[in-house]
Amino acid sequence: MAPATTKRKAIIWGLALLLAAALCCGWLLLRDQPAAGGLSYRPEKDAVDWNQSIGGEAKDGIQIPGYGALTFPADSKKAPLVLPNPAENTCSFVYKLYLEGESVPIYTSGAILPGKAVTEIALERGLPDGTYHLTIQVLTFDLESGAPQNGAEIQTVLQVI
Amino acid sequence: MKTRILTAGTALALCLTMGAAALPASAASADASSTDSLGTAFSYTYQNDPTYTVTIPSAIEMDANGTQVSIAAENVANLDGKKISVTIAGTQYFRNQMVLEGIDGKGMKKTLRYQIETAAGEVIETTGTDTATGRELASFTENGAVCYTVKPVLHPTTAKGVTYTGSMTYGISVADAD
Repeated sequence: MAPATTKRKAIIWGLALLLAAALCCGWLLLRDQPAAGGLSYRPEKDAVDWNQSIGGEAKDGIQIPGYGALTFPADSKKAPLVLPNPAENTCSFVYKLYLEGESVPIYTSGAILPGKAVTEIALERGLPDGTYHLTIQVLTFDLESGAPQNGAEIQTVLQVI
Repeated sequence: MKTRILTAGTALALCLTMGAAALPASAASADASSTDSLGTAFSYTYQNDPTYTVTIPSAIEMDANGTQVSIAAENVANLDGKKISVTIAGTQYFRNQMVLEGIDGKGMKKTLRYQIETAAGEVIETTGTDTATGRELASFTENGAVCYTVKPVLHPTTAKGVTYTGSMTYGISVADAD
């Protein structure tokens, strides 16, 4: 092969690699950076201010809300459910809802900061009438480092009517 | 014949007069009622709100002799003979073992087992093939706090100078009281 052709190919490959590297760097710099709440969860955009007390006094530890039986409307992807992060906490919350026997959550929140709450959730699918065993998983993350902290799984009954 | 016609005409005239008299009243009623508010509007928004609170330790932190931590429950009411049960639902380590992890000065991963001694004196730990998932740490039928001790399992071969960290997932449920 003529040296000029080889040189041309080398230049083309070099430029292609340079372009790929530039695109990659650009994507890394310009993408939305995950905020507090672990490295892979973005802030929950539907969170609203929530200043209700659920009884916990300011103390060491993480206040986890507990639920009695819940009721969702049948065949609706929207459901009324208050998922708060009490203002006394010093970590962010991510909520995931699981039905018994399923490994894919029917709902995942973004990172909810202390003093905020989600009051209506968008389910992955509407549910038919019935009674379900529901697990509300609470993942918690250090506000500064995003490091996972102790979490909780609240077991409850879900009535869909 | 004339009498009948006269009677019919009189009756018709009366009817028309009564109707004409009623119309303005109806109109007046309609006008009056159209500007009145009828009744009181009620509204209610049904929400699924939290009903109680459980406060868990934020992280697994301990010293060599053990560290006391607590789990608290508040707004515990209307349980109908049941209790709020707090259990070990899992840990960050493989197969939910009670193990902390760290990196030594050479970049090597190190592990450290830990154990929990409950208020009742029960020791909860895992040794590799077992599991502590489901073990109850505290239960509440009223507001309160339960303390337990977390302690590292140290051996002469335990790597020193390593910060071991880990996390635990607490299971929270309303269960039948003992």
